Amino acid sequence: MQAPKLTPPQADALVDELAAALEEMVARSCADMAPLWLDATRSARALIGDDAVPELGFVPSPRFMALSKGARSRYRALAAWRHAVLWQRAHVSVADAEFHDAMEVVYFTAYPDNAPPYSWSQSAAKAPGVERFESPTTLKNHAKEGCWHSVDALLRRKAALLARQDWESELRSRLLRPATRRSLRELLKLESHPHWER
Amino acid sequence: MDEMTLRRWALGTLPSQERRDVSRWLVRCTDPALPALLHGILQDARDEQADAVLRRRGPLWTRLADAWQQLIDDSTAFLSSGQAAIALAEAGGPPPPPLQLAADRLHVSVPSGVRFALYVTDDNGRAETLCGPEESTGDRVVGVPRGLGARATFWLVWGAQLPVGEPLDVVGSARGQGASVFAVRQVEP
Repeated sequence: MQAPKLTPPQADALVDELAAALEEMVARSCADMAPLWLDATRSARALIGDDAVPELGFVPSPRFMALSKGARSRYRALAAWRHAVLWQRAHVSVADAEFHDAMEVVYFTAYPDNAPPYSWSQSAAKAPGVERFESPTTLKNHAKEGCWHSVDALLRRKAALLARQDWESELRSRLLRPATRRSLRELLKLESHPHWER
Repeated sequence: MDEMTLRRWALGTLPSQERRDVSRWLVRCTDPALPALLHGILQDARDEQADAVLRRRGPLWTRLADAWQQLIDDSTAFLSSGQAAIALAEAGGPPPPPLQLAADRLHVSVPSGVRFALYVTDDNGRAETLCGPEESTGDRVVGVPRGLGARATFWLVWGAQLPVGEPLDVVGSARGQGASVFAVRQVEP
C-alpha cells in the first residue's frame, strides 16, 4: 500500500510554517533550541514526503561533531513545546494577561546563556521584564499557569486535528506530539493531566 | 547546503530570504547527524564570538589583563586592591580592573558573551566557587561570603574554552585550558 503524501502545495505551505516558527523560536529563546527541535521532530518531519531531505549531502566536519554537546533529550521536549506554541499561536490563547505575560518573560524572551535550563526559570530575578511582577516567585508561578493553558490549547488542537481524519491533519498532529509529552510536565513543573502523551 | 551557510544561519548573518531558505532546508532535512552538526556549529560560533568580544573590548582591557597575568605569575605575593589600583594607574588608566573588591562585595566586569568563573580560596587554601563557569551577561556584583579569613584570595578566570556549567579546579585547570587569570587578595584593614 502506498504511503499517504501531501500535495506539493500542502508540503510547501507546511514547511514554510514550520520554518517561520523555527526562526521565531530561536529569536525568542536561544540558539540551541534549533538542533533540539530538529532532534525531537525528526521522525515526524520525515513524513513530509517528497519534500524531505534524508541526507545532508555533504560530509560533516569532525571538528564540529566533536564540539557537539551530545543529546540533551530532556530539553528536546522544551524545544518542541516552544516551537509548537509559536507555530500554533498557542500563547495567544492564554486569556489571563498576567499568566500570558509571565510565560512570555520566562520562556519566550531571549536567553543569552544558551545553556540548561535554556530559560529564565531558575534565574527569574534577572529576567528582562521581572519588574512588571510583584516578585520573581510571582513571575514563576504565573508563568507556570500560562504554560499549562498553552499546553492545554495544544492538546485540544491536536485532538481536533486527529478528528479530521485526513493525512495532512494527521501529519500536523504528529508534529505536535513531541510538544505534549509527559517529559514536558517535569520540565515545566506542571500538574498531571489525563491526556499526557507517554 | 554547506557548513559555511549553516554557520551564517546560526550567527544570524544571512539576509532574510536566504535565512528562510536555510530554515526550510533544516525543516526538510532528516539526516540523524544534523542536530549534532548544528550543535557543533553553534558552539564553534559562540567560542569565536566570545574571542571577538574580547578583541573588541580594545587594547586597554587586553593589555591590563596581560599585565595582571604577568604580575600574578611573576610575584610570589599577591597585590591588594589598593596596590592594584596604583599599578593600573601607572599602566596608563583609567583602569577598569575586571575584579574589584569593595567591603563585602565584588564588582565583576567581564564583557558580555565571555566565559568566566569566580572562585575564592580561604586562609587555608580551600577553594569555593562563587559563580560560573558561565557566559557573562555584563557587569555584576557578587556578595563576599562571610568567614573566609582576612587573607582570602578571589580568582577571576576567563577564556573561550572554559566548560560552561561544569565545575573547575581553580587555577591549574583554568590555565591548562588557556584561560586568563586575575586575582585580588583581601587584606586586613
